[in-house]
Amino acid sequence: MTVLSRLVTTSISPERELAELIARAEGAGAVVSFCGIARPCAKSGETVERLVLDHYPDMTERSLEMIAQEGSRRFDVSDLRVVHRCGEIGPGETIVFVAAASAHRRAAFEAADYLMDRLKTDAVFWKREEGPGGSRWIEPTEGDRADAARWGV
Amino acid sequence: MAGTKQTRILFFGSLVDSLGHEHLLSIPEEGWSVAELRQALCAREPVAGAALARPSVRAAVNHEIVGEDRRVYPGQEIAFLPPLSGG
Repeated sequence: MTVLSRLVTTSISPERELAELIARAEGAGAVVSFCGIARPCAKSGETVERLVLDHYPDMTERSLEMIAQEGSRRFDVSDLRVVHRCGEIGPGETIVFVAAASAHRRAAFEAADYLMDRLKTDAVFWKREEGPGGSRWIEPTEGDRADAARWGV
Repeated sequence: MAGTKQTRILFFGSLVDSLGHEHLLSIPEEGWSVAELRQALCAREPVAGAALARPSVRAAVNHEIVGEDRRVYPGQEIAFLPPLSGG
């Protein structure tokens, strides 16, 4: 089994990450991936010129590894990958990439879903939207908490 | 106290806007609880410290999230973390 988590400061190539996972996932019958992409507008409709992701060096990397490892223990997967960016991110750029490979599709779908729900509540980042109207720190939503609670965490 | 080592207290996310990235504070050798540390910081920065008083702001000691009863000691790496918003 390969469990990989990475914090990056430069752009994520989902195509490359997915290709690497597929190349490693010998015997897998299913691969599921997800990209979180920076939207050009806030929920209020205001233009977002950039996202800024603050992080806590070492603690952030450990939180990504913890989430990936817990995903690998929980689901019958052969390969997991979590890649998360920090720093300044422009609209349309990838914030986070997760992927899972397994023999059959159910475990891969559930593992990817689990990884994203955990990243939303337990990955050590703080997200700020910046635009013409100023900057605003993002708070986790009740929806995010409810999603994580589905998994009993 | 003379000779007391200054301890770095780190702030992240929205706390940086009012408190900056870090403060140096003298924690007594016998330690403080996290609750006492919060009070000391709020006393030092009464306006900015209001952000620190929110229960949703958690403390981390040496990269581990801890409760209000945990004791902290000089020289440890202590951080205050607002609610997380990654993913």
